[in-house]
Amino acid sequence: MKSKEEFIAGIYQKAEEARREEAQTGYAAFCNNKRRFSVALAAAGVIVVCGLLSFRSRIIQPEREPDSHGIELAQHEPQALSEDLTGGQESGQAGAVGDADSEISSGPRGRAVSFEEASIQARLLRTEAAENGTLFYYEALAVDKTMPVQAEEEPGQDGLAALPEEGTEFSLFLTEEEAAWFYPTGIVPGSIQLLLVCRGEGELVLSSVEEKEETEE
Amino acid sequence: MNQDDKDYTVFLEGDQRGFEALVVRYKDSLIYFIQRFGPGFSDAEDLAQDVFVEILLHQERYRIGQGFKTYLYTIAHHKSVDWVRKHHREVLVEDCQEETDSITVEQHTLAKEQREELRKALRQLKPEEQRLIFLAELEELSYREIARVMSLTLPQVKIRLYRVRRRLKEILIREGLTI
Repeated sequence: MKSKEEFIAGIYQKAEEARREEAQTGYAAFCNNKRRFSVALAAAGVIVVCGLLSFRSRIIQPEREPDSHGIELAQHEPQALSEDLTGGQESGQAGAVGDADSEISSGPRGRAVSFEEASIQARLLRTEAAENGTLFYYEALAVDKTMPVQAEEEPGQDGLAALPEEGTEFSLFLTEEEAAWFYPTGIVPGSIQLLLVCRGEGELVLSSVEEKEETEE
Repeated sequence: MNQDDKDYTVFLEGDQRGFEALVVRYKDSLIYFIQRFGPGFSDAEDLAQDVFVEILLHQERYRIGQGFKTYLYTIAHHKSVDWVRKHHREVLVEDCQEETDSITVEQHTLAKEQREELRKALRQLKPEEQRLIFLAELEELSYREIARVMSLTLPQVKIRLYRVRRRLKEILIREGLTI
């Protein structure tokens, strides 16, 4: 470990070397920059040409199949998802849905996210005892993938958890990665907390979407 | 004007004592922060020197009032990320634990026993989580400042810190630690 004086002396020495090196390589850097500029200009030209070609091919073939990740989902099935959630609302479990819509619409980045984009419906696949509770694996019907949701309850006697009861609430915070995975149509990630409610027979529906405020602890 | 800005003003006026005061104030905590990326102590010391060299060579880049600490850790973050890219690794921080024992950045807030307990718990966190906790709890940077330092968005900082704190709490409870 260097002493205070040695550490500071080292900084001055390194700075001096950097200055000297900069002075020596000034002309070389100029030439190098000129070459780099030429290369960048050529690359930009190629990109523009590729872009124009791609744009042209889109105009010629405007009808494209939806991709396998369900990217087109929100455009094709918002009505169906809305109906699912309206059902939940009638049974008294999705009361915050309307409010969530207005909250999200004025999200932190000013990006409007419609409720259809944020709607979810999932089906229970299996449960696993975890270190500090139970992991319920849900298949998200919208994107056909499984999503583990941690519930704060003890596993049953045989080591496996019992099915969550109707009305059990789960909360799920989305990281950017999770948001992209779960909502390929796009949602403002990070600050979004989903409150999920079990609607019976292992079916999970969205109860509300909330923006998280400052830290909770 | 806080002490950092006062020293920086002295430095801008051509008096190196201002710069040296800043070096002495932040040297240890900067090395500690850089070590959270994986380098051993002597590499971290070298990188910390490089951070100060950058400040010395480009003194006009910092504007008084911007927050010197944030500026300093932003440079350190970039240099450390470069180091990780160059060495293709982010080693476990406990590998260099013996050397970090000489650094006691938590000194001002915690008693010796508590520091040791906290350190044990911190070792179980991932390097990125340790960096977040360090900036938030020990350097007391705001969420916005941490976002700038670590090139994250504000919501990302909030959510990650929330998770790290929750995990740290779980570790402390599991280990029976009492901080």
